[in-house]
Amino acid sequence: MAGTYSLAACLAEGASAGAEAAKLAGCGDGRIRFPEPQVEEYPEQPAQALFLVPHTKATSRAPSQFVDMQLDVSASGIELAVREGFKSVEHIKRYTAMGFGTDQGKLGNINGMAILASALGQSIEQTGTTIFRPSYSPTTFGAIAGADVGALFDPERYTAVQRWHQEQGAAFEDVGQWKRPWYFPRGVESMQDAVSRECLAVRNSVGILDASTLGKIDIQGPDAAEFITRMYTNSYLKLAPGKCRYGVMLKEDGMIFDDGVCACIGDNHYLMFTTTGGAAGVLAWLELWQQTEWPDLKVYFTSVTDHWTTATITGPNARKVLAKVCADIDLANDAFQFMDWRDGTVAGVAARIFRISFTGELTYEINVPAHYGRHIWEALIAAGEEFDITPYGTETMHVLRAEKGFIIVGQDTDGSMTPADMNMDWVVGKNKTFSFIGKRSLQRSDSVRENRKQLVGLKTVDGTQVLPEGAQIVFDPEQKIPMSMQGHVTSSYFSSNLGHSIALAVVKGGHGLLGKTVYCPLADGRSIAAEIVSSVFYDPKGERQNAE
Amino acid sequence: MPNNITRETPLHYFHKLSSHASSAQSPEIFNGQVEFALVVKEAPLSSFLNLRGNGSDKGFCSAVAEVLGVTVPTEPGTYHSNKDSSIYWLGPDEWLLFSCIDASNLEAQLRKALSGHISIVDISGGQTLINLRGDPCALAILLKKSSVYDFAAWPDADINAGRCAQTTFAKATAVVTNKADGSYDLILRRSFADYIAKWLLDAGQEFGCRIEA
Repeated sequence: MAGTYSLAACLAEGASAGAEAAKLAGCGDGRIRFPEPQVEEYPEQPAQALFLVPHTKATSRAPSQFVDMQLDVSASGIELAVREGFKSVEHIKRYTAMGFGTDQGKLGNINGMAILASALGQSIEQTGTTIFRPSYSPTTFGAIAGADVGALFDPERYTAVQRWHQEQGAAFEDVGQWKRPWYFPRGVESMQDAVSRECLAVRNSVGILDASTLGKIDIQGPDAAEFITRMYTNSYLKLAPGKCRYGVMLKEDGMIFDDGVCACIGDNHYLMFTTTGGAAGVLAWLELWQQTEWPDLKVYFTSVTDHWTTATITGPNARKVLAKVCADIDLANDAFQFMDWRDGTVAGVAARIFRISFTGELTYEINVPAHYGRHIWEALIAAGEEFDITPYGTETMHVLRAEKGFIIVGQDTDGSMTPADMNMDWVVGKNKTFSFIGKRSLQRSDSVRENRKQLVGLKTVDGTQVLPEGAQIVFDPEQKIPMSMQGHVTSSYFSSNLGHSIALAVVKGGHGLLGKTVYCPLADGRSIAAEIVSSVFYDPKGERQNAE
Repeated sequence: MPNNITRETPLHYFHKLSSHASSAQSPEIFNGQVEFALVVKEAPLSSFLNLRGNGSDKGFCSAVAEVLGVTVPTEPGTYHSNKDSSIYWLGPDEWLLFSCIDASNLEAQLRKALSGHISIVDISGGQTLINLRGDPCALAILLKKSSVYDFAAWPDADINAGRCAQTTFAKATAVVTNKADGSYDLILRRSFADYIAKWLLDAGQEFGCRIEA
């Protein structure tokens, strides 16, 4: 207790301070010229500690008396700990959580330890304190953040073609830690105009995409094919060198977790492509199963994502572009077929070319060691000039694949979708001798029930309306709230190739509802009507990717 | 190979940048007028191969040693090297080979010499080696800022052998190795190289840091 406490002493102190001030101001001599006020005096004792306000009831029966406000520790809790036999203050801390908060007991621990001392019938000194850990003393955010701020907040991963993309004025999109060109606006072009131009260029002539960010895992070993076949839903045992196959990976619960193409490079040698965002997770997944479950399978995995620059040229003129820079591969349709790959030389550089397609068009994915990345890119741009080769970004890639109904794992799936939900039963091998991860879960009653959310296409009744991604789908827009949610929109774009909007959605029992009209109620009260259609909007027979 | 083929190392666009002028190349920075306590130098394009195999198989180790002229390090966290090549221990069955021998040539020689369950992968396009030299105190602080690994606890390196660790570096990863001259070699992944270069210029700014080709 500091300062003056009793009323009489306060009055006397005030009077002498006033007289002193008057003297300094030139009035009087500092003496008090009025009688001391008479007030009643009460006897006083020194201040006493009050750690717990007593109550007529026992602490455990009285209203809660909180001691540690951060973790709702009460006085009765401390007394209970003592009744339970705890004596050490560190044990009491762990039994009650007293002092475990971010303040480390700075606010309440003195009271708590005193209550504990009282309950133990000993002094506070005998009881002692708990060990205070950070952040008992405040730490600044700056000390925690360090130099991880601004451009260094998180790594920005670049492909070898990054500077070219920047020079062209690309808008970028974050994909994991990668920076990927989103679209390439020309002049003051809007995003929609740029994407429409890029989409039309691919379907009508040729486009070029930097696909270097896709995860790539080199797989070698005598059991490589067997191991890969256990990871994907389909079989790779008979995949010959020079051939590629598309596969889907499931988690143990039978739900899609990644997808991509896997190529047979040679005897006991494969190259697996993963999604850009899934690369590290897939490699860890392969290592987990090999090291913990199947150490008897002889197979090694090595990430080669950074080694390759991948330039994808796609469109009806893709072969003509490639032919100008590649002389040592027979590009004839029957010699180098869809889902084949070839080694060759492109613009003077040893390259590996995959004829696979995410646009549905005639496509070559040209891979070279990344030191040659910019060289090969600029050589293809120059070779494609006469065909107005058009660089495109991830948005156009998304639109083109949606026109084909190709799913993006993580956008059209959310960890609760089986291959059958995605209308992709064709990718599930039925005659594999060994099981594959997730197979058993595909037979669970919940995995085979009829009303699961299933992938469908949506075509808005008014083709200019583009559904918001994530919009909920209902069958009756007039239904009273809470409405029966039947599904949601997973991907939605305006398709300049088709002249109307397109969307992919998952709808309960959707595969049996073709032709049905559904509604997407929006936050502004409107409701957009759409028809359930096939998820393949463009070239349903897949003829263009096999083009002569 | 036609001579109109341009190749770019991962730090191509950082050569001749420094913590004094990170946005523009400034000739005076490299003519001796400005003192730098820290210098980052990127090695010319070289071969990197990832090698997997059984390190307890004497035949495997001797075959690799025969091809490279370097013994295979089996002690965890160590590397061996000669003037052309280095072998870094990454795990009980995994090594990183760094060499000035052409990658496809080296891979072919190794495949001819090795048998059984092995894996050799050319990852030359995805890596770069940078040397970090300078004032020992500045170097030590820079490494402390960048990684939780205690590089100061390493014994001094031999002329042809030393310690290596594949560990976190800023928010990326690097293989860090010590050298007999007191400098450090770092092997970075290409896609993270820009980030780490920016990090080094920032972290080294208090001492002065420049990047050489």
